Amino acid sequence: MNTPFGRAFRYEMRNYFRAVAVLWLVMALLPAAMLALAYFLAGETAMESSFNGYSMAVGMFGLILGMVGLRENQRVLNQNGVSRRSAFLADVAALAVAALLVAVGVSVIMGAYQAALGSAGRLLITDLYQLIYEPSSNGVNPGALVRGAVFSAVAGWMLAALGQFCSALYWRLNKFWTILVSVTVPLVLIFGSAPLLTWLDTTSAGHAAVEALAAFGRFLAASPWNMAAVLLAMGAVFFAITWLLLRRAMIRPAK
Amino acid sequence: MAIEFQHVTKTFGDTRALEDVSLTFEEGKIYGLLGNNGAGKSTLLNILTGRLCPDSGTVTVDGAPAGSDAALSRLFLVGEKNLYPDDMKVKRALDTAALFYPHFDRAYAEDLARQFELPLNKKINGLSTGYGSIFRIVLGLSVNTPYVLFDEPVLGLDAQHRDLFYKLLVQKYAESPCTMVISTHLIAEVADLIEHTVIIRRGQILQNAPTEALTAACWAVSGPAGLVDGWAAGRDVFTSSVLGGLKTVCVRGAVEEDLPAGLERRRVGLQEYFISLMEEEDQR
Repeated sequence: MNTPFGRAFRYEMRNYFRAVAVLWLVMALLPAAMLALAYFLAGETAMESSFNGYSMAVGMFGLILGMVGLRENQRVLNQNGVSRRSAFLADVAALAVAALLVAVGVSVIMGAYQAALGSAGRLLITDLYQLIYEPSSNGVNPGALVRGAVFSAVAGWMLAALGQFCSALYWRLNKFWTILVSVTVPLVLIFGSAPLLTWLDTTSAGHAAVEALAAFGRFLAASPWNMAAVLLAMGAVFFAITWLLLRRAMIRPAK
Repeated sequence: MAIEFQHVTKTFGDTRALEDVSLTFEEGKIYGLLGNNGAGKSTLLNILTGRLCPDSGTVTVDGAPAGSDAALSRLFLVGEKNLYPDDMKVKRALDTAALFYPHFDRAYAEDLARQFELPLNKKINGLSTGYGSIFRIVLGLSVNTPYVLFDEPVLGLDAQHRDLFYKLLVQKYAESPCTMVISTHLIAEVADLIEHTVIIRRGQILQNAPTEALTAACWAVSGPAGLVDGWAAGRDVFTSSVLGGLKTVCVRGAVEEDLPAGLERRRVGLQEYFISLMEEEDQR
């Protein structure tokens, strides 16, 4: 590990681990705060609550690390004698490890809460994986927790790749294109959905597209491993595009 | 073993920052990289450190392509601005340098920080312009890489700290010779340090020679305007200036010791040579 890649990986992991530890702490305290609210503020008449933010937290964590880490790591590692290729590969690896650490950590925390509260608890602790793939599981199911951790880690890594892609894209765009993309993408998403739905409803090609999408959805829902494979492939594609954007980008100081 | 630029060209939109630049920085010398603002000095150094990609041409560091791990591990750029995260403390930046550069001398870096009164516990973005420069200088003098590049190293430094820096630079070079490239506008201050001068103008190399060879071949002759004009006729005059009735001309080539009465000759310093060269180019 005493190569530029190895040293870069160690440097990045040291940074990311601090963020991982903060997220673990937040994810450990948040349900406790909800429990406190349910028991002490609302009293015995409180309605049941659910907390299922674990997978999403891992995903958001990945997205944000990907967004903020790319440029900063390229800068500091270039200053310290690491090529952009080694810095990028170290980043991809460090993000994978960070996503895995966070996913395992929050799964353990979730399992601990589920074990402590049992099925009779007023607060339902679950995550996206369990909601989609194992909604009927009650109490602690170690297998489901492991599968959920893998699912969350892959989702976090893919979203980190998406974050890096967004960061690299804005790095390469000039002012004009930055404004154009920033304005156009939300407008297309907001106002393009109605014409798209109309098109889907009225044309045979639209119907075929809906059927293809539905089949793809069924494929994803059939097994968490299908979903994980697709997320991994998406992550790989985002990382590849990010590298293409990054390899000739100008590394300059932050403004 | 050297840094080699071969036919390097770089453009930014319509601006040609470097045009067919071929240049070698040999091992164990102190180079001065001189040029006006926008001449292409920083572009050259940024290409060398892989921060910028050239449009064409090749750059190698001891045979390794610029920007590769092998090339980058052999050099350190003390740039005009920081590439460190905003919230990083000076101490952590030293730890980081120690992680990446196996020959980084941590004790020496801390000693330098003490000499310059650089606070180690302060965040880098909280340092003043001068202390920002000191921070980068401390790193540059402590990394012990075969090539150290200084891009405007004394930006914002007071006279005392500039003097200290030049002394430490010479001391470092004497103890462990490496190649140093100093890009600066304060030519007079580094004139005695630099062994080899590269002058760049509008992206092209104008001069690339030992400093002594550049300045030894030039003289400034001054005296009453009429006398100077008469003496200078037919000589290779590259600049002249008039102050009141006193005229000074800079000439290339030998100047006889026994000048006509009323004329005086003196050697041209590097800064004067540089200014004269730029003025000559402006007139072209």
